[in-house]
Amino acid sequence: MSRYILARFLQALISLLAVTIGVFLIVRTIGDPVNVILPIDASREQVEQVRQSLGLDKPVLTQYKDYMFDMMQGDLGLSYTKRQPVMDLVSERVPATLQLGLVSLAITFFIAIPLGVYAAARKGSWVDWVSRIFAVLGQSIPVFWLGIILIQLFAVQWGLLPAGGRGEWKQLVLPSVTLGIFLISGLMRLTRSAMLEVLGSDYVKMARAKGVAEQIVLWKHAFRNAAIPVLTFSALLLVGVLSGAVIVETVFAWPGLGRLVVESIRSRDLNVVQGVIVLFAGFYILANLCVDILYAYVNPRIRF
Amino acid sequence: MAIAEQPAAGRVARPRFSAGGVFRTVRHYGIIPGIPLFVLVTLIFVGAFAPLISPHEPNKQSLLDSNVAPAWTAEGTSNNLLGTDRFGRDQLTRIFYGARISLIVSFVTIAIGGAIGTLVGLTAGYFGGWLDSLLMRIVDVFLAFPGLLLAIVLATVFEPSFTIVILVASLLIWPRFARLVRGDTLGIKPNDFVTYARITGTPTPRILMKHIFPNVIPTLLVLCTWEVGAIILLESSLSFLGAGIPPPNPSWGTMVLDGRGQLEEGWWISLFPGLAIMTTVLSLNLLGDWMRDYLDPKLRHA
Repeated sequence: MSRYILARFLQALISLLAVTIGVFLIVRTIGDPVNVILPIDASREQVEQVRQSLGLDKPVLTQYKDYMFDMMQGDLGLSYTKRQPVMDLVSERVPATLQLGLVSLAITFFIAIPLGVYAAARKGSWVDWVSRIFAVLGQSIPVFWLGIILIQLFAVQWGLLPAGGRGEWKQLVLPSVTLGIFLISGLMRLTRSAMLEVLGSDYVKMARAKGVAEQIVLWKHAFRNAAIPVLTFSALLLVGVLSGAVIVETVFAWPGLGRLVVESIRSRDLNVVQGVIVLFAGFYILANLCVDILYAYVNPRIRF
Repeated sequence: MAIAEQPAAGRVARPRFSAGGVFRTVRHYGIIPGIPLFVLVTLIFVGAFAPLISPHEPNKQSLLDSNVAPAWTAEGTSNNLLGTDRFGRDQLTRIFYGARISLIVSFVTIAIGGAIGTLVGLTAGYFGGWLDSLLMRIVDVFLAFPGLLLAIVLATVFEPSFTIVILVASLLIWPRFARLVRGDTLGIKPNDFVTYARITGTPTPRILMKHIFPNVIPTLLVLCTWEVGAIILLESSLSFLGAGIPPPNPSWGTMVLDGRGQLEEGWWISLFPGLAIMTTVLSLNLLGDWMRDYLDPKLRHA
């Protein structure tokens, strides 16, 4: 077990290294930050000066080494447009994204899992139909448009909820519901198919045959086993949260990391984009690592 | 019922077009494939003939006609059926041209990403061994990367353009093609006809293209249908974020973005392009699901 964890840990480190190298190379070699900072008609001396002050005159390898060393000390460089450390900009925004992400994940699990379990248990019933409609629509509705429609209805038309911003709890409702609807369909489909598989197994038939109450069969016998693929999917769900957050935060003017990225695209602030992407990737790799280890722990067949 | 089952076996028979034929087809296949298919054919028609059927120019601004409501509302005029946006551009025309953008992006992406993925999948599945492990490792890395974020990095480094959107979308879809085609190839390879082809000295590329590839086509059709939907969603999301098709091109995503700041003045500006995206993607998903069930004989009678 500990060997497996060690191997997975090394793999995660390699992935992280690959991602940082990839992002770094794209940003530094293809895009030239100097073009973004200076106007087109800047003189040659100005260009050289900026280049030197940003450390861009050194070889790429040295730049990468410096960047990684700085990053380990929690320094992601300076924002080109805001003249502030990227780390400060990022840490300011983390709580907002965390709040939005956790609330929408709670909504997602609270709706998707019971819906998936009962849709599988009563195939063809109205619950199953509701779940199917959810599944197909969830895959087809563009999140950003869903958010706008919700604003149109609840904020503009009926004036029930605020259209955006962050502060009171009312402002959290629309963004988290939007992100939740985006996430529900995948988790629910997976729960449903995992449950269908388990419900056909012999031990479920056995439990039913000996007269175990249906609720106990469903949750204790069946769902516990169906939960393994659901667990693996959680890592993918986190990717959904991150990329969903980028869109949802933009729609609802929610001051989180996603919005920071989009603002930085508009102002072409490469250092900020690079910092947030590396952070997202690191988070994603870490989440995957945790899920894999948890998975090995839950499922004895995986142990190497 | 036994008679109704008959045409399934006769799928090879040449279909003849007649009203009765259409009726029989609908009765046999059910209504499910018909509606999405109709939507998609309409979409392709609209995209292809956008300049001929559009009532206006897609980018022609007319500030006197800004935020005109749709024709059926009290303030609407028949000149702009779906109303106009802030710049007085006709929404219906822009939706027609937007269909064209979605079609171009998705077809080019499928052609590039799908072809690369299929080739990688065929190679990995047929040769196996270390080549297979290596290729699948690369596929895993690409599958694990959050796509929207990759798109954002590229869009920041380059100016947003058609090329970047297509490049990003291709990078995202090729591993899915590779994985699926590899799986199919593994299943096809042990068949006798492949062994015979090899014994008779058929060159490997010919075996791949003439003997294995045709058997992968059904799977590919289903995947392409789904992926076109995914590409349209990706393109519109990127355009909405300002990292996709650059304005003033009438991408559906950009149009939704245009309406975002105008919710008080014009609910229709975001509504209709969004409906267009949803209807298209929904049709593609339903058609893909139906095709998967229909083409898989194990599922067909379940």
